[in-house]
Amino acid sequence: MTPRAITFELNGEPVTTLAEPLEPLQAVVHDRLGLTGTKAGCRQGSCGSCTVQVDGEPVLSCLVPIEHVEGRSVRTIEGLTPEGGELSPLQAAFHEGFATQCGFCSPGMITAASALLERNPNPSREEIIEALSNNVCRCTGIEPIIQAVQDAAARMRALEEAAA
Amino acid sequence: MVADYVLASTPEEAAELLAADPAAIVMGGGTTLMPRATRGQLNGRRVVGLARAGLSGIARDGGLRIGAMTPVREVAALEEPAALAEAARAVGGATLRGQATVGGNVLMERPYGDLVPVLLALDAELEVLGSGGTRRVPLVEALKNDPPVGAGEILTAVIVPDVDGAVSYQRCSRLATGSPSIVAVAARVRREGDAIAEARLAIGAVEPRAVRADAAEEALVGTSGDADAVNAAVAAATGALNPVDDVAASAWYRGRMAELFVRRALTEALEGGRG
Repeated sequence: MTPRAITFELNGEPVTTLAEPLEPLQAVVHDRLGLTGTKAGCRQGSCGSCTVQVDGEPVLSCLVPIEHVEGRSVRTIEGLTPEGGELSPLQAAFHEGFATQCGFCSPGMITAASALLERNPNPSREEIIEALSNNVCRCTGIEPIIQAVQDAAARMRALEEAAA
Repeated sequence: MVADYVLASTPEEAAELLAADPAAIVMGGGTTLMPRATRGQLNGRRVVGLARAGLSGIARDGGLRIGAMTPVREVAALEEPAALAEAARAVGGATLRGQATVGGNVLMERPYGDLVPVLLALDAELEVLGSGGTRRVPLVEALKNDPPVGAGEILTAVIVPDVDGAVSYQRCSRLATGSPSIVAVAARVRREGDAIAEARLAIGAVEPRAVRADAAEEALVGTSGDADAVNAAVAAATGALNPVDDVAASAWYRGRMAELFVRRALTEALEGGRG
């Protein structure tokens, strides 16, 4: 079976890439398209480090066959990062709150948390824990991560109010 | 790598593709098959995908008709039946529930299958499509076959009738979420006057597939549901179990927890359930 061409939107830009049948979205994004923020941790849906957004919903991209994103919109940690070296409010809160430690789980955590904050600007602690329930931090730094999401939510609400 | 991946555009096309190739394997959301494909365990095989076969969605018509490709997340968000939604929330984590499908969960052996005990307690049926057309089979009957859906057939929907009675769902696991069930018990009790007219008791995660505890149900019907009746039902339900041993719990522990959680489920259902 020869690889076939798949077209989808990646971080706002249309891309066409060759892929093997059932190639995981994670492998396509990371290995073929060079966006190395989407980490392969377990390759079996257990760790969450490969979390990306498809049409705004978080997914474990190691479990998504590339064929399923044909014509759909994929957003990775690179697409959630502002241009020009700035950090998003969520990234800034992670950075300042020492919520990264080794950093391997951070892109998945931020991608999952960003989808939560899109639909719920003021999540409770329980809602944050629930939204991150598929994301594992092997450094066991989950408490600063929860705190960073709460801080980011507060900053983003303040920015919204200032803009209104 | 797999030979090819064909996304069927209808359930009929999927059933035909599967019937034409005995080695072909059907894939729903991919949460269990994708890791196998990545590890090379499906090399050379044709995989038939249902993601675009129009099998996703929940329709309410008296009871529920849940398309086989409906994400577990949608069941978790249901208000009714509350016990079914609660069981759905035991599946994986929040992100995974958007990818795991109801059909996959119902057909997989433990540690999957968290929906099955409640579905058994609610007298659910499977809608299955094969070369002879669509058939409906009670879930409890389907589970007597391995696999529950035959070669060349696909599960198209799970039918949940609107049944009466008080329902309880009790789950034992190491963590509240993201942790496999050690025991999961669903019970339903319907009274006529003071006497129990109908009882359902289903036990999941103890054996490879969930089981209905027929003897316990019979022990309850006709009684008032007093302590003697509950003791008899617990003994009947757990005496016949053959608990598995795994990393989450030893067979001995599973057996003890089965006893405790069957008692809790029966007690709560007899006290009126959780609505």
